[in-house]
Amino acid sequence: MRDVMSVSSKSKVRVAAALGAAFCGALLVLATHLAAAQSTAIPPLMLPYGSGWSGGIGGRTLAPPESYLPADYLNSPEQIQAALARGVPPDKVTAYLQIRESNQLLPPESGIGPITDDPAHPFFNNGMREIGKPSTVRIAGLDSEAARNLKPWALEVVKKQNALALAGRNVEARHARCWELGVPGILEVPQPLYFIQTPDEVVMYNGWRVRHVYMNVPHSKNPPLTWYGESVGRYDGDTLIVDTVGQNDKSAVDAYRTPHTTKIHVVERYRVINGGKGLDTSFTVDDPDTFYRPWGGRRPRFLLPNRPLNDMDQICAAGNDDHFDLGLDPVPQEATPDF
Amino acid sequence: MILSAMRITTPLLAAMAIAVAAMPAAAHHSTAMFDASKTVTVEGTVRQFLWTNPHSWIYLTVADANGQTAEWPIELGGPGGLLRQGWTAKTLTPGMKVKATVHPLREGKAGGQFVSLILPDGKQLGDSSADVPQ
Amino acid sequence: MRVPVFALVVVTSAALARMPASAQGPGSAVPDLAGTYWATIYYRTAPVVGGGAPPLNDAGKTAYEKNRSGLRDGSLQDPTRKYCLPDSVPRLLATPYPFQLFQLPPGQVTFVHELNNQVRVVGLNVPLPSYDKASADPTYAGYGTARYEGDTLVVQAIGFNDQTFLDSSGLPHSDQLMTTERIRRMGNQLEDVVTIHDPAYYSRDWQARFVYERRRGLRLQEYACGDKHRDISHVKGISEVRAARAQRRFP
Repeated sequence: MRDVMSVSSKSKVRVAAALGAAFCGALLVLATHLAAAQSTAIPPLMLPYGSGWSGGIGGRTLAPPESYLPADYLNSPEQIQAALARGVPPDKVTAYLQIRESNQLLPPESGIGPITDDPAHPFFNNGMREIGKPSTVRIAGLDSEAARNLKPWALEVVKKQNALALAGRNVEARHARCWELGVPGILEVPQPLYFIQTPDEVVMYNGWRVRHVYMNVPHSKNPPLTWYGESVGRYDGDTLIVDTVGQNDKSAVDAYRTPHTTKIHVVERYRVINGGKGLDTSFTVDDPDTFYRPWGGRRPRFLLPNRPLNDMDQICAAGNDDHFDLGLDPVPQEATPDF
Repeated sequence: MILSAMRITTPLLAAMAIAVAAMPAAAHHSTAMFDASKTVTVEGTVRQFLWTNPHSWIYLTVADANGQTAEWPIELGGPGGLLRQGWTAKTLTPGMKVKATVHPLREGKAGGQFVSLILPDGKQLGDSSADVPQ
Repeated sequence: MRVPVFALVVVTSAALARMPASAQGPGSAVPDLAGTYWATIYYRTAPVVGGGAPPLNDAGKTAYEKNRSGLRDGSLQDPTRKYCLPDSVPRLLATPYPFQLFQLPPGQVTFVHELNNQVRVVGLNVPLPSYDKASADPTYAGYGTARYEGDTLVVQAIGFNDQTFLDSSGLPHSDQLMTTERIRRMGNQLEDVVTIHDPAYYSRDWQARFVYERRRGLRLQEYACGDKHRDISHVKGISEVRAARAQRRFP
C-alpha cells in the first residue's frame, strides 16, 4: 500500500507514538511500583494458590521444627522435663514436642498459659505413633497455674469433662464433631490456614471455617453474639493484630472444653517469620467471669507449599454420625431444610 | 467425547497424583476407640461406600450364623492414602460381597477401623491412612 | 494512520484503573469482578436459559424420579441442607444468601459464601484433570480451573461426587458432569451462566443463568448449621419454597 502521508506527518506520528509509548511505559512502571510498595507494606500472610499455613499433621510430613517452633518451646528444660515425665523416650523429645504442637496450644512467652494435660494421663494425639506411643484421650491437668486461674464454675465444667473422658465417653474434641469453635478455640485446628488480605477486610479460612476481620474500624456498639464474634484488625509493623469481642458462650476455649462467657475478649497477633517459613501466632484471652486473670498462648504454623487440589474439600460432617454409639456430640444439623 | 479431548499430558497428571498422595488429612477424632492389638474378619454386603475426607466409610451388612444382619460401619482413611493403596471411589459398589478385616471397637460393638479387604475377584486392598492428631 | 497520543494514554489509564488489587502484573488486564453479591430471586429448580425443563434423557428421567421420591419419603437424604455440606455447582449458584468474590490470593479466585460457610477456591489456568482421574477421586466441589476471557471469568469443573443434586428438587448428575461458568459484570450486577454437560443424564448441554446484585458495604454473617440464620424472607421465592416444604408439596 502506498504511503500517502507526508514526511513531516510521518515524523509527527512517530514522535507522538514514541511519546505515547513512553508515557504508557511510565504508567505501567508506576503501577507496578505502587503494587510492589503496597505488598511489602503489609505482612505477607496471604500466600499464592497452592500454599497454606499448616498447623501440623503429625508423622512423616512435618516441617523442620526449628523453622517455625519457638526455641524456648523446643529447648526449654521445663518442656523437656515434662516430656520425659510423660514417658517420652529421650531421643524422641523434639519429635514429641513437634507432633504435640499440632493440636495443643503452646504456652505464651510469659504469663499464665492454657490448660494442658494431666501428667498422670498424658495426652498423645494420633500422630504419636511415630514415637511409639498409642493415642490417648485428653484429660485436663487440674494442678497447674492455668487450672488455678479458672473460677469455680469453670473448673467444675472441666472436671465433668475429665470424668466423661476417663469413662471413655464424649472423648472427641468439639472440632472433630464439626462444631464451630470460637476464638481462640479455632487456633488449635491443624488444617492449613489461609488469608485473603484486602484493604478493608482480611478473611481467614481453614478447613470449613471462615472468619472475617474488618480492618481499621472500631467495634460496633453492641455486636450480636456469634460463634466467632466480631473481629476488627490493624497492622502494626510486621504484625496483624485481631481484636475479637461478641462471642456467644457456646464454644470452648480449648479442646479440654474449658468454657467461657460472652464477656470474652481475645487479641491475636500474626507474624511471618524465618524468611516466610513460619507463621508466629500468639493470643491473649480476657474473660473476668471465667478466669481470674488474663492468660495467653501461642500456636505456630509452617508454610505448606503445593497443597493438593482438593484440600478445600475437608468436609467434617460427611459420614460423621456417632456410628459406634460412643456418646459423641451429634454433628450440627438443620432440623428442617432452610429453604 | 469432549472430556477425552481434554486429556492432560502424563507429567502433569503425575504431578497432581503426587500432590494428592502427599495430602495431609484433616484433624479428626481419636483412634483410641479401636483396639489396635486385635483384628477381626467379617464377610458382608456393601450397602454404601462413602468416599470423603477426612474419613471414607464402608457400611457393610453382615449376617451372623443365625442369619441376623447387623450393620458394620468401617472407618477408612481419606482418599489420599486410599488412592496410594489402589483404591478409587468406584472400587466398591452397593451389593458387592467382600471380606473385611478391621481393628474392632474396644466396646465390642459392630464396626471397626479398616485394616484390609478382599474384593469379589479375590484382590486384596489395604489402607495407609495418614494418622493425624485428634 | 495517525494514532492520537491522548487516545493511547486514555485507553491505558482506563485499563489500569480497572485492574483490581490482585492484578497479575504489568500488561495483564483482568476484569474487576471482586465484590459482595446477593441474588434477589431464589430458584428452587435450575433456571434453564430459554425456559422449560432441563433436557433429561431416559436414564436422567429415571434418576430424577428416584431422587424425588426418595427425598419425598425421606429414604434419600439431602445432606446439603441437612448437614450443611457443600451445595456444589450449579446448586450453589442459586444461593439466597450473599457471597463474596475475591480475585485473590494471586493465582486463584475465591468465592466466600455465607451459605454453609462455603469457601470455593479455583486456581487460575491450572490443568483440569481427565475424567478418569477425576472420577477416581471425586469431591463435593469438583476440580476447577479458572481463566479470563476478556471481560469474563470462565470457571470449569469436573470430578463431582454423588452426594449432591443439580438443584434442590433432586435434579440428578452422573460422574461425567462437567460445568462451565461464564461470569461477568453487567453494571451493578454479576451474571453467571453455567453450562451443564452430563451426557449420561441429559440429551444435550444446557444452560442456567443466575444474576446477583452488587452490595457494597454488606458484611457476611455466620451460618452455623442448626442455628438461626439471616432473614432471607425478602428474597423472591423463599417464602414460597418454605411453605411448599412445610406442606410437603416440595420436592
